[in-house]
Amino acid sequence: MEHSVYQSAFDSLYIDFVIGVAVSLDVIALTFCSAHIYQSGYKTWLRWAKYNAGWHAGLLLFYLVAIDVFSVFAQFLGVVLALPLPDWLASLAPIWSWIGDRFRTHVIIYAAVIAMAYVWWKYSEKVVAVPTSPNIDEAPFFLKPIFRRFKAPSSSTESRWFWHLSACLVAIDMLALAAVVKSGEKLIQFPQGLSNFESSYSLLFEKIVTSANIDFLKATLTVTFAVFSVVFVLCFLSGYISNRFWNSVSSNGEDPLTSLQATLIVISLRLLEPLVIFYFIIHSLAFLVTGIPIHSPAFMLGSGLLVAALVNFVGLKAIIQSAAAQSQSRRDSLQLGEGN
Amino acid sequence: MNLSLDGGITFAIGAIMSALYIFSFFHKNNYLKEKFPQNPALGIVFAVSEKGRSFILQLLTRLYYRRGVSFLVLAAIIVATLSPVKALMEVEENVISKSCASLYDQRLLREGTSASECKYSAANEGISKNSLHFEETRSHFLQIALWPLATALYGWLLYIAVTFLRKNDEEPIDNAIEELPHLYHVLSILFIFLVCVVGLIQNGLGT
Repeated sequence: MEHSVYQSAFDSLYIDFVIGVAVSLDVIALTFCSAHIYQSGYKTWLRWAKYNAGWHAGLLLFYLVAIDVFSVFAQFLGVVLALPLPDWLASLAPIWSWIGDRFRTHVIIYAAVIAMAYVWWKYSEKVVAVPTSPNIDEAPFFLKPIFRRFKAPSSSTESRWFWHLSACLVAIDMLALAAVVKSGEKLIQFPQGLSNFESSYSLLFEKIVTSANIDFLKATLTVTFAVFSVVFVLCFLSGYISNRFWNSVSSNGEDPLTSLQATLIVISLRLLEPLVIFYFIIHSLAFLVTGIPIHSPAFMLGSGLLVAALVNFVGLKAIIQSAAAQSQSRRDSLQLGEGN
Repeated sequence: MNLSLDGGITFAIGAIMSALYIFSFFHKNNYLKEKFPQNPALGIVFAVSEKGRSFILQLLTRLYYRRGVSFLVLAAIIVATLSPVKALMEVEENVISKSCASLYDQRLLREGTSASECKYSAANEGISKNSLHFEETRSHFLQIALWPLATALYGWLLYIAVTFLRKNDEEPIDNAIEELPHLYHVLSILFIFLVCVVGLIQNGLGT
């Protein structure tokens, strides 16, 4: 049995860190607009960084494993569809053979295209969300009962569950990231050579056992660790920088221009994140087309076109309004603090 | 079976749309409604007719408003499909040019062969043109790209039609389509026709 050579553009630590930075942008925007965090000192920033890094890395690992399970399931389905039909169903053999052939030739492309469409869809929701007022309905379906059980959104902004919900909601795009990481290269890695379907269970078991090697585990843990460490560091730094920024503003007196500035920062961070992630989507699409992991400046154009489609879809007005609401919530929480 | 999966999906969409359109003929059939007011089977037909008609109108409205999104997604797919191939070919051409120039300088080429002839000959045998085996996958992507192409094309045609035919700019699109004589039928038939054409092209590419 011939296995494909282990190859992944995401093996490079450099790319792992770029992805880590990209997914931290929304955490930075959230920290920038959360007065109860950046005003509280470095112990709070460390705790906030721990929550965000934990949720990002945890959800990423969960989704990576979920996609691996799907990959194995698809392989088993490929074997089942390759089995000959019993004699009494012989008349259906041409249709059965057509379904099996089409499944084997299309499953990767369709899974990748669906995953990429889903990534785009998640960003269309995220780009207009207001994470400073977390909503349980935006959480992953399997976590909703837990957050409902602990009444996370109605808790105080200092409570553990409020923090968990806030951190979970900004990490919702980890499914997007896992899909991007898996869609191009790694979907083919586990089990190795998903494009080459096995014809029997024994060959498939052998392939799965060979695929689950130390290189695969190392690559998965590297990307998870890179995301954890980058989110942790950037989240902590964003607490410090936000504190310095808002302190310098309040000493000069906050004016309408400052609110506009804050809104523009939030909008920029919101649009920059999909721009980077969509670059990797285009990169994965290109990998599927050529079979070679290459990077090209033209992918930035493709990424820009997908962001333009996103803005066209949700409307620039909705993005501005949600960013303004996010930056406004900072002032509301400050006034509430003064009132108390 | 000589049918591609993408073509099959498109034909299935076309068949569903045709069925909904045919059912929607019963929408304003007052003669049948008055003659058989209690008939349960006709009741179901009228209900499906109403739903089918409102579904088609909703779809047309979405295609109208999402024409820009479809176009931009199509452009992104084209960039993703074409740019890596172009990038690979550029890299290869550079390597071939330099290799041929070096061979020419060292007089290792057959007498009378220039560096540009060497480059032309080598590029035609190059890996990007012959050995990448990306044609099949690219064909899949081209087939998938036909969907946003069709929706963008239809959305813009709809936009032009509605811009010229609508009397009041504030009027909702579905109202405008319903009120203008024959427009609903023209647009529905045009959509089904477009779906069939796309299905045939996809099938041609896939098989």
